[in-house]
Parts: sequence; structure tokens; C-alpha cells
Amino acid sequence: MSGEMDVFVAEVRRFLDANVTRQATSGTELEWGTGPDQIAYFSTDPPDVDAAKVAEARSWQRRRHEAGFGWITGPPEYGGRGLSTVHDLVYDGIEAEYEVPDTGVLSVIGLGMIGPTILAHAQGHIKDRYLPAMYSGEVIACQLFSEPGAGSDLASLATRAVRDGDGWVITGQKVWTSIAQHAHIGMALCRTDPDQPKHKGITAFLIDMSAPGVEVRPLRQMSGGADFNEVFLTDVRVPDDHRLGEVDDGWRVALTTLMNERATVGGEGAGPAARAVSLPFLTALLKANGRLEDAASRRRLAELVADLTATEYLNHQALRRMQAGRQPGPEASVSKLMYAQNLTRGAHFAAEIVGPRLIADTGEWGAYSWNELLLSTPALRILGGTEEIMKNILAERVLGLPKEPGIDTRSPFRELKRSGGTA
Amino acid sequence: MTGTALDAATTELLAGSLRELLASVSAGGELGPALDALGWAEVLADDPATATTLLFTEHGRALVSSRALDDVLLAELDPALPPAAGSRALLYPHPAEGADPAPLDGPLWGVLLGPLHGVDEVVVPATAEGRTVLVTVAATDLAAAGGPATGFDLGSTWHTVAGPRPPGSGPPAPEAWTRAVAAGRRALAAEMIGVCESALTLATAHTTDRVQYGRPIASFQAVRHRLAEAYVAVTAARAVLDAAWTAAGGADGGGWAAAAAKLQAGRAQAQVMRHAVQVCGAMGLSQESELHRHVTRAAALDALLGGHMALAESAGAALLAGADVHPVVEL
Repeated sequence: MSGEMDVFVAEVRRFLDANVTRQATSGTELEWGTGPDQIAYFSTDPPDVDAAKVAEARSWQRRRHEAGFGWITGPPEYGGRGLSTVHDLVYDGIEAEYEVPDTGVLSVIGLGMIGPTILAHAQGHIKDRYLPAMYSGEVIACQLFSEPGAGSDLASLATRAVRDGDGWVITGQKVWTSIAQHAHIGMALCRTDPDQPKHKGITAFLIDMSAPGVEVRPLRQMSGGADFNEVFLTDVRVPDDHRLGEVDDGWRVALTTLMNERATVGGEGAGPAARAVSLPFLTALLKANGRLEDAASRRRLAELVADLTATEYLNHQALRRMQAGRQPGPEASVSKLMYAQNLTRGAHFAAEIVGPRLIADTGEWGAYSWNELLLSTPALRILGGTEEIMKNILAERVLGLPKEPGIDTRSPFRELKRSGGTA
Repeated sequence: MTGTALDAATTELLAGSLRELLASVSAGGELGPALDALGWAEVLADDPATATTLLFTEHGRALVSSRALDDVLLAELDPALPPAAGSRALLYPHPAEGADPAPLDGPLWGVLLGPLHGVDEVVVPATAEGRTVLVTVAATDLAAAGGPATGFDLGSTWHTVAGPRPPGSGPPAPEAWTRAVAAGRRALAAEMIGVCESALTLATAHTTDRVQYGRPIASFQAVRHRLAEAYVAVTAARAVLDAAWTAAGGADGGGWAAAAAKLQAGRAQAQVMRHAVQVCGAMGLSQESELHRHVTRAAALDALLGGHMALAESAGAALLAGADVHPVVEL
């Protein structure tokens, strides 16, 4: 490591030592039966606990930001540090040794996906207004993309934005919107010209989630939590300077967000789910359940660890490429598929070990809690682009297979057959 | 890595040269002289990871059968052996035994990767008192016990060796054998990946050309998704192999990581071949298609030095016993 990096590392450690405590056990050691018995991917906390955790996350992000670690790779004019992806990774690696609040509510969507989109497509004063606020934990952002009639076929979205004086009026319904209940702003894709083919007449906007006409209703998931929502937009007024990119060019803006989404989802490493689907935790699980001598379990453990190694290495390569200034490409689809597959297989592996204790709480640590992960992993195979869409991307863009015929990308949007009503 | 890492352009150039070289080699022929002419020793010394992976991936892709793998294992065994009296080959443990050499007090049992033309002596690993010893046997003493391993992989030059063991012993070299097995597993993983890539190319071409219901069958999701899954499996295998090379400098030659790489490649070939055969339909079932050569070669390579089912179990047992899973990703 260079001298400059040594100085950075020392600075990071000084900051963390002064503000938080080091974890009692390192990542490779584990004391079975200690710590919170929670293996959730999505929050299943009641709203008050959830709100307290969001407050903690924002407060920790603010301290990071004040110390110069809120947006390590961001441009200094918007509150970033202007350093490399390697610095960012080094920071994350060191921070993982400490007890810090989970900042996923801020980082996954807002800082990981929408921040880079704003940076690439917003006007200067809008970047000034939102980027420092987002990366200092003040502003939480959500992604208003999917609709009842536009899931995998996102470009068939129907939420309308109509010009009105110096602004726009937006009406429609968004759905499966994670963390909308906590968000201050939302990035919305809207139909601005239904007479053009579906990919052409879309425009992206930043919406104030507290504006009149924005209504958020929770959706309860099968895992028990209510992490995602329906968002109803009724005559919501948005100033024109809150537009991202050109009018009718929102699909290109959305692609910036989506590529960062696949990279973010596939590259996730922290959190209780990743901690549970890991060699030390699964080893401890087998030990606690007297299954160390079980050949089938050993085989599956080795396969799972090999898959985790593959994902870890692919993410490492992807970061290297981003570090070299290249955008995430179709390879992000491989990471996303493998990430969901690993957690799914991990959950099934554990489910077989704990048996009926998965559905009947015996009070035993590390048994019933697996049900949260088992019921969450189906979502991982859907969100951020379903597995079917990921495989289509790989088929067409990597293997060069012919496109599916009959997918209409030429007809005007208003002539298309759609679910969930007409345009 | 010891020398200068090969850059992408040089690697691509070398891949092209290797393809030409491998296309011209006859079954069971010697790669050595042609590789020497290419200056391969220097390439290998500069960047062993890239060079070895490149050579064996192309070897797999071209479905060549040669004794190239012997050089990989012998490079690890040579320091533990007396000076060679001429050119050497290696007798591998019979695939039924994984990577465990046959007992020294029993008969010979193993496979050679090719006929012994021009070979002077054969290194025969054996197990004595729980340790691996390396016995060197004159090639002429082994000839009577060996015969072509015909039947399964029709393009293979492998020879099965079964018969009375010639007298003799050799130095105990368990560490060298462990390192050799690790090196061999990395090379075999690369070779399986090459066979998979070639099979995937065949299946991609077939499903793009083949029209049913008025459209290329690759435009049906049931078909293209299988191929996408196959691609993911190969990508994952390559990632674990690359990761395994970062552990190759360890005390045991990166044993666990090398086993994981071969395990992942073995699983990949099973999945890739299953999907490739299915999407090629009846055309893929006949020997007129090249596909059967990939299926049998990949399965044979999987079986050498531990098949993926056996490796999963031994790697899993090692994990539970606290094996050193080298931190594969370093900044």
C-alpha cells in the first residue's frame, strides 16, 4: 500500500475509534447463541423501532459526512471526497470491524443508485441542493419506477406527466416501492408522450415526497415486514428544474439507475442475511444441530462456499472495472443472479437443518429466525430485475442469441395492450 | 505472481497462437516441442496463473488429449525426486480413487494421459504407511500393464494401468504430492471451463440457426434461459479458479481453494452439458454432432484427481475441520 493510503487508513481508524466501538468478535469468529436472533433480509420491526433505526442510520451518515467519509468517491463540489473506489472499499472493510448502525435505508437506493443518476443527469443547482443533503443523511431517496401494469416491462409505465406553465403535473400509481415511507424525495419515471413508442416518450423527475397529492400506503410482505409500498400520485406539481435529463429521454436516465441497481444488489455484502449465509455461521449451525458428520450437509456446505467465493470474486472484478472508470455491464446480471441464488440456497440449507423448528418457535436461538430469510429470498429473485429478465439480458447481450419476436418496440405507447388499465 | 503479469492484448495474441498450435497436434502427440518454439517457458515463468489457465482452457476448447498436465504436476514433484534419467511421465491415481495413490504393497492401478512413446521413466505415486511416496519406474517396466482406456471418451488417449507392481520404492513426498494435486486441479478446472465454453458456443450456434414454429429456437425463453444459466455456471467456475490462483502461493499450494475451483468447474460441466444436450435436441444426440465429444471429455476430466461429488464431500469435511479458506479477495 502506498503512503497516501496509509494516511487514509489511519484517518479512518482515528474517526471510527473516536466514535464507535470495535466488534467483540471478528468476521471469522462467531459465538453461536449470542447477539440478536434475527436473520432478516427485510425489516420486520414495528414502525416505532423501524423509525428509530432510520434515525440512527441518518445520524451515523451525518457523522461520516462531517468526517469526510460520507461520499468517498463523490466530487468535492457536492460534498464528496474525490477519492477512488479503492478508498471506498478500504473504508467499508475497516468499518465492518466496528459496531455501526445499518445505513442500508440510505445507501442501497439513494446513495447507491439515485445519487449517481442525479450526478449524471440533473442541473447544477439541483445537484447542489440534493447531493450534499443525501450524502449527509438528511435526505432519503426512493425509486418510483414499477407500476401495477409495468413490472418487468418497465417501459410500459403509464404514470402521466403533463406540462403546466413552468412545471409539470404528475398523476399515476407506483408500486413495490421500497422505503417510500421514509423517503423525502423520489425519482419518478413518467409518460410524457404516449404517441411515441414506449421507450421514447418517458421523462424522469425528482418528486418531493411531502408534496400535496403524494400518498404512501404500506404493502405487507410474506416475511412479515412492510418494507415496500404503493405510492399514489394525484396531480402532484413538480417544477421543471426537477426534471432529470431531457424531456422524453427518461429511459436513458433510468438505465443509469438500473445498472447501478444490479451492481448494488449483486454486490451487497453486509447485513444479517449475508452474515447468516456465511461459512462461520453455517458451520456453527451444523455444529449446534449435531450435523457435522452428515455427508450430504458437508457436500452442500462446500458447494455453497464455492458459490460464495465466486460471487465475492465477481464483485471484486466488477469493482476493479468501475475503478477503471467503466460502467457496470451485463456482467452485473451474473452477480445479481448468483447473489439471489446463494441466499436462497443458504436459506433452504438452513431450513432443512432446523426442520419443523422453522415454522414452530421453540425459543431456540438460530432456529425459528431462519423463516424470515426463507420467506425473504423469493423477493431477491424478483427485485432489481427478475431472474427471467436477467437471463434474457445475458442471452441477448452476452451470448448474442436472437431477440424474442413479437415484442413491440415500435408502435406508439397508446396502442399497446397492457395490464392495469389503458394509457 | 512472480514476474510481469500478461496484459489483455498479449493474452489474446497468445490464445490465438495456442489455438493454431493445438489444432495442428495429433491425438496423443507431444505439445512440448511446439510450446518450446512459442517460448512458453518464459510466458509461464512471467505469469503462471494466466499462462496455465490460458493453455488448459484452449486445450479443453480444442478437445485435445495430451500429456500436458504431466508437466504441471511434475513441476511440483521434481524437487522431491532424484534427477530425471530422461523424459518423465506421471501415473495418476485411478479416477475411482480420487487423488489418493494406490497402496505401495498392492498392484499398480492408475491412468496415464497418453502412450509412453519417447518417455524414459514414469513417476508412480503410491501410499505407504499413510504417506505418499514417489516411485520412479522405467517406462519399459510399465508398458505391459497399460492399455488404451477405450470406450467412454472416444477421443481420449488415456491409458489404464493395472497389473503387478515392479519392485522399488522412492522418497516420501506428501507435501509435494499435495501441491502437485492442487496445481493439477487448477489446470483441470481451466480445461473443463474450455470444454464448457466450446459446448456453449456449439449450443448457441445451433439454437440460433435452428428454426421451429417460424423462429430461431434460441428466441424461446425455455431454450435461452438454459443457455444463460450455463453461462452463469461457467462464469462462476472461472471466478473460483481465478480466486484459487490468489491462494496458490500458500504452504499447501492453495489446496482448499484449488479443490473448490475443480469442484466448481465440475459442477459447471455437469450443468452446461445437461443444458447443451437438451437444447440441441435430437441433433445433439448423434455422433454426427460434435457435442458428444464435449460431454464425454468434460466428464472424464471431472473424474480425474477427484470428481465433483467426491470433492464436495472432502472439501466440506475440510471446511468443518477448520481448513484455511484463504482470503481470496485482496485489494
